[in-house]
Amino acid sequence: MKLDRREFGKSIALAMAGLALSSARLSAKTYLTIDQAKQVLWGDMPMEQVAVTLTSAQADAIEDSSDTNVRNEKLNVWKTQDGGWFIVDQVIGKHENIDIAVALTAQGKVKGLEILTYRETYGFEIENAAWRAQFYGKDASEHLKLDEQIQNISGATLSSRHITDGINRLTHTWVHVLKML
Amino acid sequence: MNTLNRCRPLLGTFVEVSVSADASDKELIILSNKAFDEIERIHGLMSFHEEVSELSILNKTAHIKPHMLSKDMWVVLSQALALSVLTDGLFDVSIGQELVAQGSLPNHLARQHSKGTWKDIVLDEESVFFKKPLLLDLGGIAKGYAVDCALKQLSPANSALVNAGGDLACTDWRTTPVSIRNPGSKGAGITLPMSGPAVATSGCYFQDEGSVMIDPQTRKPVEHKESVSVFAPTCMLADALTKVAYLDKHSGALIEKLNAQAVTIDGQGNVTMWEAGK
Repeated sequence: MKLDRREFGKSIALAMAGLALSSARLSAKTYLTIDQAKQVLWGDMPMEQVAVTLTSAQADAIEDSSDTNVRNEKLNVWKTQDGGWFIVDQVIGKHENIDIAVALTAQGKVKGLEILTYRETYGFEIENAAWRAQFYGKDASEHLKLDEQIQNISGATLSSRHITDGINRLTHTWVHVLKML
Repeated sequence: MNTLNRCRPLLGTFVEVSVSADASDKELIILSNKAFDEIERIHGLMSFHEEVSELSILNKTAHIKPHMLSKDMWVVLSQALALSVLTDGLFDVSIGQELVAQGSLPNHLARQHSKGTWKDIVLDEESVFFKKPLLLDLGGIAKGYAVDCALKQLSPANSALVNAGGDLACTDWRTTPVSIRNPGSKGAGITLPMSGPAVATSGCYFQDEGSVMIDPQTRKPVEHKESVSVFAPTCMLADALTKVAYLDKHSGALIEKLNAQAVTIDGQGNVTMWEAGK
């Protein structure tokens, strides 16, 4: 059975509450609200929410081409007046869940990314060499891989991998779905 | 008073910027953008990974002819060399060769090992020259400098904080406790009051592929079970001194002399404040 986003979110929240009670290991940090993230990524650009529910064929196509799992069929997407997109998505790892807001240009390129919420069971204050999230300006034609376009330095591994997976999933979602809307 | 908290993936970690001021969200966004832009700017100068960074250019050419330095690179190199002198080479940015050999850094130049050290770096008021071919790596100091520079950009705010994966500086440090990861558990951090405007932490947490901390004197990787945090007047100094403290348990006197404070957290979560002379 596939859960919709709300139910899914609820089940995550419950699972996390259980974890927090049992181990008190969880910490959550919240950053921007969705409205603030819109302002950060798109300024005053007008945008409208578009109701998109992926068909299973679309979800399969995205999974195949992005090599990631599509967990939510319902997308949280807004189309901007100039044809770009504002997307709120959740990146789910083994040890952390990160809510991200991503801006894609009308050409499907990544314009920016903001972390909205970071919930971790253990985290990222780890020493590592200089590394940089190099996905700005990338699109689905350049499938991001750790070790190649994205330098994967120990410590940043977990989170950076899940963020790059999220970016790959969203750029391919644009190719298969959003581009046509 | 309005507060904006942001977090973006940068510098191989997550960079948090927090600003509070009597200002609109829009104004705080513009201000926080300046901090992120500044971090990207410093990264563009000091990245070992990027072949066009100022650092890569001087690694390529400074042994052939003196390299005219940006103001930022001058500040970082002069701090690094001052620490090399004070620690007799325990802090040494010429460690790039070992990190390349170990596979932790990319080998852009495919160069033979020169066996040069910080003593082969000649810094004058505006340029640098290497007496031997060297590969400098600023991984132990540049992130802290980037945090300092980003925080300066936020000076119009009433209060501000910049945290680049544990290299943290803030304006309200007297009233802002920090949480430092417990090296013995993957869980909650240990909360400490700040004893300076900036803090940085060194430790080998959860690393499968071995330590990326090199002892410049033995030129071998080092790994301890405990972590060391250093509170200091600048994040650049805190960042650099964590490496010194991590490598030398007897560096307490030097750390105190530099108005800094080191703290060890061991695998059981025990916190030890360093004292001078111990």
